[in-house]
Amino acid sequence: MAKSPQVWYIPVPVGRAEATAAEQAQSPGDLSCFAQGSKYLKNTTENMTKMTVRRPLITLAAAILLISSLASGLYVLRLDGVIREKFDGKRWSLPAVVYARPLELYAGLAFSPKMLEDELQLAGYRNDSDDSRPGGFRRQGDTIHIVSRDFQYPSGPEKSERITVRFTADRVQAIEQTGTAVPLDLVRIDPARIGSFHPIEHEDRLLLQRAELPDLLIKTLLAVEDQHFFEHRGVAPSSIMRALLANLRAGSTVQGGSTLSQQLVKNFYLSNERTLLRKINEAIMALLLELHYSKDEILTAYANEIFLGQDGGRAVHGFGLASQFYFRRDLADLSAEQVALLVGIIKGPTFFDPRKKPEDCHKRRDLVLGIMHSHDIINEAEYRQATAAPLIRDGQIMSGFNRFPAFLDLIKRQLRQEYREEDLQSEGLKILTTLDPQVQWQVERHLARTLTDLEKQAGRSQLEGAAVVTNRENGEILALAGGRQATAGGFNRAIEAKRPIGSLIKPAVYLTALGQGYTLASPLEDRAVVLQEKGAKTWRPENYDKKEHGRVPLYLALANSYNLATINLGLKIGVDKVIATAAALGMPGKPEPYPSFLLGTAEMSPLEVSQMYQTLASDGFFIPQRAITSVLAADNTLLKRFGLSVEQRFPAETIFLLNTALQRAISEGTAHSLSRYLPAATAVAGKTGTTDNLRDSWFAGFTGDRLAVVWVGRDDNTPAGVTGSSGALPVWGEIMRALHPQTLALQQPPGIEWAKIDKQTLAAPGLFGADSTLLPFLAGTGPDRETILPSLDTEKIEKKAKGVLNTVRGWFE
Amino acid sequence: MLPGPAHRLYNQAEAAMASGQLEQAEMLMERALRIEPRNALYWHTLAQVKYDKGEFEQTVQFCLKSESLARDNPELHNVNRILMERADKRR
Repeated sequence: MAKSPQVWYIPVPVGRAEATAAEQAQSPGDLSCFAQGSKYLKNTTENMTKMTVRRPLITLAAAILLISSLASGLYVLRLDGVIREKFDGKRWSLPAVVYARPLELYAGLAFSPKMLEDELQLAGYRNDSDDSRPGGFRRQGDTIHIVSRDFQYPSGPEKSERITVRFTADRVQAIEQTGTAVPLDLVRIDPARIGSFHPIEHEDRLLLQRAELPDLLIKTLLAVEDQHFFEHRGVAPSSIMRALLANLRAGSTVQGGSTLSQQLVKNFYLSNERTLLRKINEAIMALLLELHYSKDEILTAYANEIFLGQDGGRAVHGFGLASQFYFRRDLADLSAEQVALLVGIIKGPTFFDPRKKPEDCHKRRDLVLGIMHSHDIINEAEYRQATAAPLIRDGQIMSGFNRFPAFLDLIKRQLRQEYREEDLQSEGLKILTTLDPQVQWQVERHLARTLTDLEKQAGRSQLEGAAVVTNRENGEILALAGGRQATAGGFNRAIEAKRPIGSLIKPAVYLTALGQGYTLASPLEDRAVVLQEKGAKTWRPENYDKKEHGRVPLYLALANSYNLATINLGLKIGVDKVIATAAALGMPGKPEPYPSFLLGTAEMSPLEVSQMYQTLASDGFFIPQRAITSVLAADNTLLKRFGLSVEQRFPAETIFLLNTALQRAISEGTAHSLSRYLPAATAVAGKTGTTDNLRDSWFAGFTGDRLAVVWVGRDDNTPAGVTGSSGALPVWGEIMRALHPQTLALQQPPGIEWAKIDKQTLAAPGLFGADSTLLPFLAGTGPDRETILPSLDTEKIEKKAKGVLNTVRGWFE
Repeated sequence: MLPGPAHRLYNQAEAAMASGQLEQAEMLMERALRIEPRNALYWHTLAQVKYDKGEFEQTVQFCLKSESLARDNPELHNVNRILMERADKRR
């Protein structure tokens, strides 16, 4: 990847491993660092041997003196090299940070105040009455006041804004500038940091510049940790003596005499062992550090390096991140008691952990406040106010970083194709994604809950599941669940579990037929068929209900998912043609054209299925699904953008006919139980899928705004006891119900007309035709005009199906 | 019809295009489509950006997408047709 000209970017491999290596080199038993010197020593020793004849003792003493001063000189040089290498090089590895999509707010958006609160909490906003500083919000009934934070988008920076959002009936009613009441038509809230790429145990930090360290913090830090910082040259003998005396008096270590420079050296290069040698190294290195670098440089490095707490596997380093972690505030916005807490816990972030040791932490904080007061950093009134303030508010400390492991896994897989693992862990990239936290929360919640409900029935246990939700029109992946335990990570079924897709393949069969001139009313034969392939066993496919349904209209065969009608149709139109359609929809790979393909033997992951159905959902346009929108370098330059692209692969007319039939699967077919979750008016188009012995349960479908694919089954691939409509469908229904979907109003192309057919005769209904249904047809192919036997007029109808494309082509001729 | 919530982005994209900031215009229109995904005019505008960027295959495809959503909008049909013709000559 391109190297950014940032100051930390000189490619020197440093880190904890390096520090350990340095320590090893310093151990008395290892003389490798004297390798160069030893050659010189040998020559010198030879020369001196000649002189020993006269003055053996003096010579020996001189030699020892020379050797030891040379050795210590070289040793210091070596330490100097270590210091400069780390300080001049890339001091810290910054993991790539992943962001959710930014929330766009505008009047009319279906969004509740609770949803906005949840979203702001996730993004690290603090809920408090002080809403004057960026990153704060305050709710008053149906009104929320927010002060957004600066954010660097790929299109440029956006400044913090004070906004007031008013809601009515779980919709955004109006947005205005707080204070001025100037109406705002569209507001973008800076996105939540949802995770980062790092080794399992890792340090995390937000790097700050010297100018970003507030005076209050620096004064307090120096008053508590190193009062003579600006006078000493790295070590302060008087402090060491004072500490030594204090410790002697107390009989244990009560005071540390280390300067900030020594502490920094210790953190940077040395282990925690308490040996004399380490102390000496620390002192030498602190002196060297001060020789090369200014006080401000050392202070800034210290502020970014110091360990201040633990968040699971993530170690919180530096004041910048600690301020966000403990208070959800920028460092510059901290109050006196908050600064006192951070400076106080330097002494022992575990011992004074405000979450686990609130009393110890409180005492320590007040002790620091006392020092601040006695050093005139705060006055009497401020001191009183600060000591009276609570330690930390409920729910204030952020936790649960990397909250969406399955989605992050998807991001990582895509990034690995473009970036090296080490760059992802160290270059401080910013990854902007399409994750919609609102959708992700609902997916996680309802996948877990519904599977638990399903298992209450006998014969079902150890169910697992996966789900993918995308934006219907632009293919952005909004949410992804890789299993019922969303936060656990591990096996990501949405991506890795490739299972036979069963009847989810059927739309490809029927789309092929519609493209060849069949209509929704074309009669299909749902009759037993025996298939004999060379070298294979005889295959007798069956319907799910083990019955034959005779002559059925095409739309009903799809809606009811009749296997026999599908096989007969597929064999007639050609398995290879169906495979070509599936491939055009987005199916990966190139399966052999066996008839069993028609019943869904192709194995796909839920994510792959969603790409296929995306093409149906977006009216025949293939849209590559995306989870990453852009990648920015640490200095915010745009490195890569993943833009929207489209490709029309099917004529609008045939897709319209197919999607209408998929709506029938819900209104009267295998998925009619969806009416328990969503009103019929939502007009969902979808398809159930079930595989042999109920091993896999699928549902794929779309509403006016979103597409979702759900799989339910067992990891050991044994029968799960659920069909598509009894397993995956309830999960899908619960997720979508929670998301308040938009109605699916299919866009009717100009060349479509509607006609009734008699469900029995499949022809135009007679005068007394009781049982009829209304279906769309390509103009001129309706039942009242002529017989619909595709074998008779295929050519003519095919011509019509291609009408629109021909028209388009005609424009260019 | 009243302008939708992404109308300002559309105006900004038009301005960006006029000043040759095509990447900027593209990002603005993708954002606008995230908010109003079935706005045929916005799909057409993105087709225009693609044309200015010299991506003629995509110009045609975005016009086709715009067409599929355009309903009874003779003016939009017309500009889509003209843009597709121009793109087709150059691809």
